Amino acid sequence: MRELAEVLLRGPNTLTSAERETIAAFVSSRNDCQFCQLSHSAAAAHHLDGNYDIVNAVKRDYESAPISAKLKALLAIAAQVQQGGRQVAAADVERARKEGATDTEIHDAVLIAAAFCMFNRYVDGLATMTPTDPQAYDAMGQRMARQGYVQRP
Amino acid sequence: MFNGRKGGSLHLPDVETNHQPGPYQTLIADAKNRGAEYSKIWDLFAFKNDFTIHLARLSQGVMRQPATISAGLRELVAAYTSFQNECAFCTQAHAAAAAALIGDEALVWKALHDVESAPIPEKEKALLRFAGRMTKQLPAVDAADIATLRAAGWDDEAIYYAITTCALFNFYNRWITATGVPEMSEEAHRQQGRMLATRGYGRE
Repeated sequence: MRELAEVLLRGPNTLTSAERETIAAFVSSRNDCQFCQLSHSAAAAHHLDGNYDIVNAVKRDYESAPISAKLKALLAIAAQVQQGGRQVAAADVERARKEGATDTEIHDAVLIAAAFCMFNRYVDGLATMTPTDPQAYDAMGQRMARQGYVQRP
Repeated sequence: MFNGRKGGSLHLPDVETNHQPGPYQTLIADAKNRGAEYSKIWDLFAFKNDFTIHLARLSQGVMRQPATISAGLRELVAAYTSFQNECAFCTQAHAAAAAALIGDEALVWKALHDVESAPIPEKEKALLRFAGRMTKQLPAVDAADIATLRAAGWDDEAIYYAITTCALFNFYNRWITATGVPEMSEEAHRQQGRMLATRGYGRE
């Protein structure tokens, strides 16, 4: 699963790692998975020099968050995917295209949202020991943003 | 059963036609040459090889690694999760794989449609109820659910595989329905199910 996260969130992509971590944090927040939503919010923030404002605004209300119209459209698709893949309507895809998203970017937003519906269940299902100290998540996000998910020699 | 997509293209044309070189590109080309029906999930696998190579390995481990829960039951959990998520393609594909491994297609469909009245052991019903809760009521799943599974006779290894199988299909179901992978004919699904039962998920 680490390799999947590495490719999804850090592999070559026209969506930035900050945008992709934001989608991951957003979906995890909707799934109410504390471990994933706090750690990926921190990763998103550390891709933006430690600024949590954007990811926090996205989790509160992405339509009014200070992000691009394209990312809003991709988050709208991610929100539907979180509910169920069948919820994604042609109008959602059209909106993303209209805001400049390519088919690849739409696909990758779907892929990240769907993958976090797996990761969230894996983590919650296995009842991972969830740290309660917010500092622990900050250090974790810093490591995720700088070093990624796969151990390097 | 809920309606799936019968035939047609993916919702993302650039994804459907952009096959990277690799095992899935070859599979698709072979099927097209034979004029055979092929599974459009292969288009997705061929589109993003650097991701799907790891996904295929993960799927093989989750679904086939020898453990205290049989591969047939894991396929039934996969089909049940897919049925709950209304993913027609995955439901048919993994019901077929479960039927091939368990040897009773009618039994598999009875379990999917109504766990409580299906002629399966209480132990297996507990497993499917758990997969239903993981799929539909994730935040509510807690230690009491695990205790219920243990009381039904499952050990921690089996529970681990039940969780990972259910989690994996909550991914596949969303990826496949959101991109519009259509159902195949019943016979094509049966044939693919036998392939999954005998060859598994790896394509390397």
